[in-house]
Amino acid sequence: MSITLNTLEDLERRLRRNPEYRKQQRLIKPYYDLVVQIIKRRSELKLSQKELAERAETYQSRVSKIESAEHDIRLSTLTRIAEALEAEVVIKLVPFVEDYQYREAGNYMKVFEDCLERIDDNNSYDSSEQGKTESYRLQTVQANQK
Amino acid sequence: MTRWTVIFFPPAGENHSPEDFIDRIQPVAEAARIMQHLNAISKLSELRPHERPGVKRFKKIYQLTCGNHRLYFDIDEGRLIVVLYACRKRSNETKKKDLDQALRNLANYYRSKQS
Repeated sequence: MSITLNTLEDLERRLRRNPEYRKQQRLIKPYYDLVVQIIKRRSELKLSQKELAERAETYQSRVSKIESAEHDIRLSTLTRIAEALEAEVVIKLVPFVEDYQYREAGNYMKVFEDCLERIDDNNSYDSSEQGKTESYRLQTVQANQK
Repeated sequence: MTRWTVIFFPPAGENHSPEDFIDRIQPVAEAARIMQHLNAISKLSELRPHERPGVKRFKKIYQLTCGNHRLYFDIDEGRLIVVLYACRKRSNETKKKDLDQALRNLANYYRSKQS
């Protein structure tokens, strides 16, 4: 007997059917994108949070909060942290097109799947069909892992 | 480095499924935050699990604190993050009941894998 388990992406796809969820995600995502970039760069430079704080003339507790996405970082702090990480801040405002990150990543298959889901959303929801799609996707994920 | 894969156990529809719990969280902003947090820790593949933001080693598993919620997970071969249990954070102290449930789910996960 084999077990098939949903992945984060499966749950994400399900939650994204809710427009309010998509809006909240757009609001939260930049914080986490920043967290990942700061931690990755700090780890590349082999700096501790304390060392980064000293370089950026701030406190270790603040760096810790920024890295947990708990702190609403000021632009001036961000530029100082970037400087301390030997990096620069590049800001881009993009008129939002939902799932733009998939397009940016060139993952056209995901865009296609999401378009199909949106078509499904507009039509009546058929749980039996949905079950088939999910299960197929899960098997694919498992096969990839092997 | 490639990102880790996040999976949920027990599966949706079963008792104490973390997936169902996240799916039902209100307000949805909290769910979005948890999803982004899980996404972030899956991307930080070069760090050991307990070095990732909001994560600490707790007994035999890892505890992720995100806003008003706690998630328990373990890592498995093949760069898998197995989310075992999710609950609302009711106090600063971890409830034994929540931890025990997460550990039971962990045992069931390995049992299901073997069968």
